[in-house]
Amino acid sequence: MSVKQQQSQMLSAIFSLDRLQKTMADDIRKSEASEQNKISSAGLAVYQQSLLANATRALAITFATVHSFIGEISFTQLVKNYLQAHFKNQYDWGELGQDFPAFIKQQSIVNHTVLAAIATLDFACHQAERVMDVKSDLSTLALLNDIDAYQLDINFTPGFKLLKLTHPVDLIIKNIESAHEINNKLSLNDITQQLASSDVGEYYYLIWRPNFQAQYQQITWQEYQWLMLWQPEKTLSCNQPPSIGQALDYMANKDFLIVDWLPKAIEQQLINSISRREIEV
Amino acid sequence: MFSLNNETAIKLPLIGVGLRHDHFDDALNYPANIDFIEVHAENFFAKGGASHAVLNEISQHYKISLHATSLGLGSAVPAPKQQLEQLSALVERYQPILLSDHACFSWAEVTGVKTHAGDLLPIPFNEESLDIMVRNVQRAQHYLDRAILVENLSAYIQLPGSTYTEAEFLVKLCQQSGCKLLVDLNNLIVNAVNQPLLDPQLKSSHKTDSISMLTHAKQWLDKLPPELVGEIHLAGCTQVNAGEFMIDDHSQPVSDDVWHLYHYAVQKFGAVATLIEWDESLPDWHTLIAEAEKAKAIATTVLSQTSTSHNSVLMTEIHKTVEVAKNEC
Repeated sequence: MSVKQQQSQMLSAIFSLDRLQKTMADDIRKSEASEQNKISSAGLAVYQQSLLANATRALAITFATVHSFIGEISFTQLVKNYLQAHFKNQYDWGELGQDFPAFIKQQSIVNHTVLAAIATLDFACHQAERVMDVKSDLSTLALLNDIDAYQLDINFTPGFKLLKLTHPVDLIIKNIESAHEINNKLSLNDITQQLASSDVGEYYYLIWRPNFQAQYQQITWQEYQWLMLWQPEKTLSCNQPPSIGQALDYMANKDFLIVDWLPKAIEQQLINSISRREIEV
Repeated sequence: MFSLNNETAIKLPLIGVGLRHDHFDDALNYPANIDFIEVHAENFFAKGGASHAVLNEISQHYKISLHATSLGLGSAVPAPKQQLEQLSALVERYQPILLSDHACFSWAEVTGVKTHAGDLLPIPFNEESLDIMVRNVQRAQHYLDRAILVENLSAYIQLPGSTYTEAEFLVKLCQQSGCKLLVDLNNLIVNAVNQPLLDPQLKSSHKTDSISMLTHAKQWLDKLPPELVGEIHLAGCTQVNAGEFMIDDHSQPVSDDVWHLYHYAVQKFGAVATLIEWDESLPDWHTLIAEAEKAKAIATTVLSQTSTSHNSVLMTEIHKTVEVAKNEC
């Protein structure tokens, strides 16, 4: 067997987790199991435990809210199932879990849809906290007074992202945290019941990182439409986000007023700077 | 910079500690008299955010060593280019005095998908593995534009097919790739303890008492040419009963066996940069620094003795020469 095959086999055995543990138990029961096999199984179990512990630790950081709402035991089981369904192709533990929210949604666990929505928010906040730092320059806001809006770009703070979720996750999180403060210690059962009673619909969220900690906020459909113009997948032209003037044209008749939005965006440190558009040659 | 290495007649090794998240504030608020700080490279793979703000500040006060844990230098499926570029960007940004990873594999294809183990997995010590690892180390060194240090592993399974001992393999790796070694002394003890569990044929004959473990580890060290050793790691781990795997969990103070081995290693390799690793059940900052001070004390004692003994040999030679000259006159 080549080294490449040997390595594939070993990694495959480690990621099999439960399946291998069952095989090990069978091996031990069978008196004919060779000494070498038992020892290999015990050694592999060390790596399997390490994989599960490391993955649980990493995902508990990324999905901190989900982890706190379902508890360590359920979370570890979820991670174990996830590792068996999705081979880990990231080398950076901090990047693991992009498809964890979708995975949760497919699981037959209590409150899976609302937990998936919370997981989506958790992941977006976690990613926002990892993006490149950009220095803000609020003195450039003065350009809004002096330059034509079609010549100006808005530059948002790092981590700026929008989500459309099936549950009002901000209210759910706030209610559970408030209840926890009042009761001192809220049981996982209490949390499960609160999650089960949450509304279902379409809710829009803004995520941004004014300093180092990500913020999130529920926004209106109009704000969502406006801000979506600066999301990479929704820019008006192929590669370039719209100028402020173009964006306002797009929002005409959509019941959106920039004079209401702008002061709030500045106060929340959502805007990093305003820049003058380079003239295309 | 805070430094433990004051003006002395003898050359002392640089002594550092591994910095973990819980100690970030203490490292800044209670500056320690140490020569460098080692951080895990992957903890700073994010492009921005709070972790970089802290490391930037730390790097104003301490020299930095970057210890990578994810390249999988022994992987037959090589690390992606992006991973090397990320590490290279980190090297460029923090200009570490030392840069290291492990003699292990981490990448492999599982049912056709390139998968990362998230762990340091053992390799067989043979010609095929050596070719793979030399290629990967050279590729990494090309991207990083410098020689790296490669650390010996603690292993809990023995893949069949080895034709070299681990030490022979690592020496060949250095000779063929231009890298140097990061010798983890606790890993030598852990492997010596676990050896009978990995190789059942040794079970009846292998002795697991402290003297036998140390003898085994010293024999391992004896196979390394001193010029190939670039760093030493010291750590402690949870003790186990006979028949159980000892896990290199870095959860305890450096053990007496490892201190003993360090004494031997300094005698053999001289003033080699030394690091205290402590990752689990972290002590307070001052306890961690006390471990670094202990390492410094041992190195000072050993190197002073070596220096004294070297000087006395030199003086004896001079006296002899003078006596011969007198007689000839």
